[in-house]
Amino acid sequence: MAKPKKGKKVNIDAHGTILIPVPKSIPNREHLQRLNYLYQLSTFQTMEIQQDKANSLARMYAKNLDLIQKKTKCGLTPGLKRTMCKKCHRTLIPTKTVKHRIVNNSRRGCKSNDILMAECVCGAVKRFPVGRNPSYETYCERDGNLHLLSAGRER
Amino acid sequence: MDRFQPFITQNLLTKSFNDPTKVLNENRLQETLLLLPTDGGMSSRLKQRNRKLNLANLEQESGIRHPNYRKINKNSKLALKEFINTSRKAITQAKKIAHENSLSTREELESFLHKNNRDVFDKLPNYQTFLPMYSDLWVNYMREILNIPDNLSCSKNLNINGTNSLLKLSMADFNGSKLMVSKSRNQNMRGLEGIVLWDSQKTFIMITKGSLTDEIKIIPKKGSVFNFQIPINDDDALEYTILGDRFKYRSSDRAGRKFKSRRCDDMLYYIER
Repeated sequence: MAKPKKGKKVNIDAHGTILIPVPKSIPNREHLQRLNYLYQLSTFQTMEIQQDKANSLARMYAKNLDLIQKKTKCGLTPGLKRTMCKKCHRTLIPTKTVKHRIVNNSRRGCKSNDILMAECVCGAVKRFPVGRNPSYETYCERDGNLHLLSAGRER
Repeated sequence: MDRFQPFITQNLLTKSFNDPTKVLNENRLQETLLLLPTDGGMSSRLKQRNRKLNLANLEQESGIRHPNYRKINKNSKLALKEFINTSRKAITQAKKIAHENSLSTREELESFLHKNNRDVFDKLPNYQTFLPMYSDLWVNYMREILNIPDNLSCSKNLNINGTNSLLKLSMADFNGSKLMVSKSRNQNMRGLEGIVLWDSQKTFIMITKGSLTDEIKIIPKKGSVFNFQIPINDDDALEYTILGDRFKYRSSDRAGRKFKSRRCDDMLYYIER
């Protein structure tokens, strides 16, 4: 049996979950900044550079982002991941690299089976069941799950 | 001498053929090899699913594939290679055209290409379009990493933790930075300045300003030393140096790497002038 060490107090609430205090600073902030920068770069490239027909540079940056995220084990929010193609690593910008449409494959066509399809230029499709529960929010979007830590610039 | 034997017709071939004279009957398989769903109750549902797949889904699924699927879905590394090669080819073509038509200034060349050689003009990379990558994004990124406040009036007020900031810089991203080759074993590379498009394992791919056209250059890290500046305010800048020989990792590998000391007998060119 693992006993809690002496010097440290472990707070356990009524439901048996361990309460961990919110960290005061952002752990490995450099990596997050780098990921943020790479995301900005790839979005900029897809928007601005017309010579690059296949968005190759933007895709390389996004691929780099993906690799670094895996290497440093940083989690990305679903909001960010939904703007990237999982297959070809394009930044999904409406009318430029992605087409949205609503598809209903059910026989009766009832509203709850609506599916939002985001189709990347490469042919990969992201499907979101929007009709099932319109008020659904991801874990990060719900209130009280995110903590605001002070950014480094103000110090 | 009748070679037609009734025995065979009656006994041997009755199971498989109705008519031995006509050996391949198209419908014979249908009678014997009919596949039926094993679960009797499920049969109606299965059939409906199949029908649906035929009519509605098949059209949709074929519609998903883009007509230029192979071309668009190309591996991003190959696409980058192709992009660099095509733009370099376009640059040489543009230079050739300029030479043939004796165009000496940039404006003349660009207007000429715009009028006559549209395909070359479209492929020419432009330094100005890549410039915001450095001036807006990268500089701000560096300031964020090194904790440089936005409007600093005097550079003396700045205090930076030296070793800490170097560690941060070693993990930073150099895509989009503006580098200058300060020292190199290759004499011709000295003084080249450009914005890094891609930081590969052994080279920096840069776009440099030129008098006639902007050029994409592939500069090996081996045997060269790079300088870069991080502007603090309008007048002052921090200057750092990258030793290309010690920087030979892919930029994604550099994320968690600690640089170790190595023997330095390959760095002699650094002391020689």
